[in-house]
Amino acid sequence: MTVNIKNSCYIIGIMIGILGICLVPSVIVAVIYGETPEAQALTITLLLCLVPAVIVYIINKIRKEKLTRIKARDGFFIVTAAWLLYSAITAIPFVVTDSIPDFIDAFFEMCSGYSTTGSTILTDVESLPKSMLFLRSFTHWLGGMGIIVFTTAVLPSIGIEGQMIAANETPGPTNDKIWARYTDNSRNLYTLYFVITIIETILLMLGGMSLYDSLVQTFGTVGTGGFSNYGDSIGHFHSLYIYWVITIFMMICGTNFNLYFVLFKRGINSMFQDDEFKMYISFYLTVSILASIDLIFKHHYSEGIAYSITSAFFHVASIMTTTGYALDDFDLWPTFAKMMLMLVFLTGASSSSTGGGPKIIRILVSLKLIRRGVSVKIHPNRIYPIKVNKKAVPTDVVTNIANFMFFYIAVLFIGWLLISIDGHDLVTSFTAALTCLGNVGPGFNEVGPVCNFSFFSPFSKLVMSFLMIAGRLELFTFFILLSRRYWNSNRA
Amino acid sequence: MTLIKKQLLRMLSLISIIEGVSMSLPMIVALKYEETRVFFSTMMIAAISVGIGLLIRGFVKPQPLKFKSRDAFLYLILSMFTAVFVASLPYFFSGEGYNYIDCWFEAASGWTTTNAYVIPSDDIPLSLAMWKSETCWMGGLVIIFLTISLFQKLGIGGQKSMSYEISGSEGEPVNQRLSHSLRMAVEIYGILTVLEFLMLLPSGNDPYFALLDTFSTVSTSGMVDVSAGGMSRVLTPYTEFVFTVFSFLSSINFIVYFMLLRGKPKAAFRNLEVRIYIVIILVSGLLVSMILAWQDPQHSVLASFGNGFMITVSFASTSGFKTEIIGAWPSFVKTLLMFLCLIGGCGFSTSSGIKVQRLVVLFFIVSRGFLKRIHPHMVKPIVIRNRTVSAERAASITSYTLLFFAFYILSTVLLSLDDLGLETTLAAPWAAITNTGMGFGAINTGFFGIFSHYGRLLLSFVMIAGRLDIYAFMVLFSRSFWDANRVTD
Repeated sequence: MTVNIKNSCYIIGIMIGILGICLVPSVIVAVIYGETPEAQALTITLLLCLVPAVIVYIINKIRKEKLTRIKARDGFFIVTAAWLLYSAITAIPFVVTDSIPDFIDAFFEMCSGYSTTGSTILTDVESLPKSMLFLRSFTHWLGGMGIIVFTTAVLPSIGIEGQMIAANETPGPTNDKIWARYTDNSRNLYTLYFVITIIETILLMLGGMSLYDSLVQTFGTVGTGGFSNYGDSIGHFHSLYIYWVITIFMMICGTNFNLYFVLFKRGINSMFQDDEFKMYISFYLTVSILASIDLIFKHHYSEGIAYSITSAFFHVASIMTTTGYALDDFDLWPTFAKMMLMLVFLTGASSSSTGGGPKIIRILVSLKLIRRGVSVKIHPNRIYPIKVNKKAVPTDVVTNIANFMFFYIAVLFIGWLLISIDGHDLVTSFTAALTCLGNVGPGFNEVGPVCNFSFFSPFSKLVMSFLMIAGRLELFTFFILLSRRYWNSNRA
Repeated sequence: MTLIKKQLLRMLSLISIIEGVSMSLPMIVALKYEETRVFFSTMMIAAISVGIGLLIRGFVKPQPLKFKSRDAFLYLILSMFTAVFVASLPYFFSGEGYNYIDCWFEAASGWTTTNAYVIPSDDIPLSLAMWKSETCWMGGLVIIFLTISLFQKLGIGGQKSMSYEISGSEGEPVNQRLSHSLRMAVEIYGILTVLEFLMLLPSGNDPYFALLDTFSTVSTSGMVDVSAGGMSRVLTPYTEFVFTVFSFLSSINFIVYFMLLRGKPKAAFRNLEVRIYIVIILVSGLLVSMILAWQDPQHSVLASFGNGFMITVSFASTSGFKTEIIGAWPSFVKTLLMFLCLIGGCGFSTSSGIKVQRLVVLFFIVSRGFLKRIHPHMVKPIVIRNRTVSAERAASITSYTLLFFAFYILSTVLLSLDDLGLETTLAAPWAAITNTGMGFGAINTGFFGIFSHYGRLLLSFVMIAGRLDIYAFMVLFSRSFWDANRVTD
């Protein structure tokens, strides 16, 4: 049993075509703002994307045996290849229009976009043309819910196979779905996603933002990405209303989206019965409150208590949901408050959300595993099942969670080691690796919220790009391609 | 179930007696170097410790040596606290005016074989420095002892059941085997100590330093710095070489020595854990040496290689000694060294850290994760060299590793209240939990005096928890530990 490359390439071809179509909004923006070279570059890229799609479509029509038959195993290859190709292709307009002349820089930026990380190599964001900044943020929107999920929503012919593939993209240890047909599931997810996007856009505009600014910031929030079109990120807007709208929407998008469907069907109490959601909210509130207290007691902000609390709640939400927006330089915070941020770096958002990181559900199960480990030492003969939502978690799932955590730590350390070759201090290298793997965006020290990633070597940028994609695809989907047994399981 | 038990009292009193007796060494040093206040106060403490110990043992009759796991954990942690408490007294009553928390820290740092310090090297009398070093040595001895006797029963210590390897001739009953093995382990440790001392004598330094350094390096603790009375130690390539060699020898699995002594050298060389440990050291040592040679034109290539391997062994064995200012070394080297002390040494040695044995199993756990995603229905246990790793052991190692990191993260959060910046806040608990005693950031000389008294106390508990594989410390926080009738938890 081996990977079916031909059929996989068919699906990838179609997906590239869809990418082409996704470039249309950016073309429109370019036309509106009269950015002709950008419009031309985007249009050419768009047409180039349509070519492989058309070719594979025709080939499929001609062949007797349809190319849509794929197996679960092909999913890993398709997802990883698609994500890498999307990043590479979307980088082309940036290079061609000289917005980001270096290809590795552009590739980094696009990986950061699709993986909804939000780390940037741009030293002067505001100098880029509006259409380019729009496209950059639009990648967050696409990558947030998932490009595979988007594809399966759009193309019903992908159907069941799509489910297998999408499982590799959906964040979380299990693949829950509410509807029987996966296409329905994807459609409903994207519809909900769409609705949230529109609501936030309107709310932000009510706060005084232009439509353009509002869309850019919304894409960054809803995809939990973090790109902004302003150098000082959200701090640019100087409005407590806007800060809180974004805080709330970040938290909304860091929640398990399946819970919203449960909410519609069974009311809000059912949401609060979910163990992961309870941990997500209580952890967020505790950490934010502790950080606020530290900031207030140390008189960190001259702007007063209201701003201190806002800043704490905003930044904790930003890091926890792995969005990465900033109001000001939290690298200047007292150590305890920074450690609070570091904590939420390590937990990430909820599963089946647009956020990244190890995911709250895994942290929850890990904590239960730890507690069980301690209890077993005291009472070796007792049996302690791990229960989530009142149901026992199957051993397989628990094992998967445990080996995911270990692999995550291993990849984090290896990434950290490779980045440290550049010679920057420990905190910089470590948080650079951590932020990329967790798809957050900013780190501390030299990669703090007011800094950028431009000073890293091309090697480090590539390492970080791969860390971002690997983290977004929950590691195994990405790294399994390195296993020989994956490509040919006839190997013993 | 009463927690204060007679056998516990007898154990603690034994500790008191042994420590009291071992205080004779710093007393001798104090006498020699005319540190009279220290001499008299230590003598008083020794007399009281021995006295109280003997008294308790006189009144409390010997008990049969049976206890449950949970009792064992309690005994472990209380014994450690008692040992540290008694060890802190010579510092406190020395007349130097040290804060008690600092004395507690130094004592804990010794017994946990960490060898971090808060009392500056120019502020500590020679006799107390020797006491520090001696407590390091005793800490190493205790770990060797406990690994055979207690840790296996409790399922901690990072080595798989050694009953097969330890057993001598098949006909011996288990108890005899155990005490025989204990004796052998202690003898091996003693031999290593004597050997290192003899090798350090001709190094051109005062015998005081030979003894001081032997105690601290053979227990993989580090190097005690002292410069009182105008005496100081001169470090030569020879002494550095001796430190490196003996740190290494104490950090490999003592099973290897058992097998050598039993006349089975082939089995000794086949030990997988030690082989992997050696490979780790060789590869890291080469990397570090090459980078140092390339980056630092001041030293000759040979010197760079020497320094490279020395610092590699220093961190890999969780000793934490250094002979140069390493704060300015390349980031890659620093990061690599941090990983080395996290991995730690082998099980059944004086080293700490996660231990190489667990690392091997963790590697297989992760690679099995890949296998399961390709073949979700496959049932395949972890097999290492034709021996299956039981599901129980894999679960135990999983829990331990998660607990280790969770505890580390918790200690960094608590330590951040000292507001010393991220690098130091992250580095210090790392150095403490792996019992290395040295790290990067502001603690790159092993000096922990930058922390507040709260921070120092916190770190002393982290050191103790790290040495006792964290479980012994954590059980204190488990409700079902204190109330056996509690079903849930």
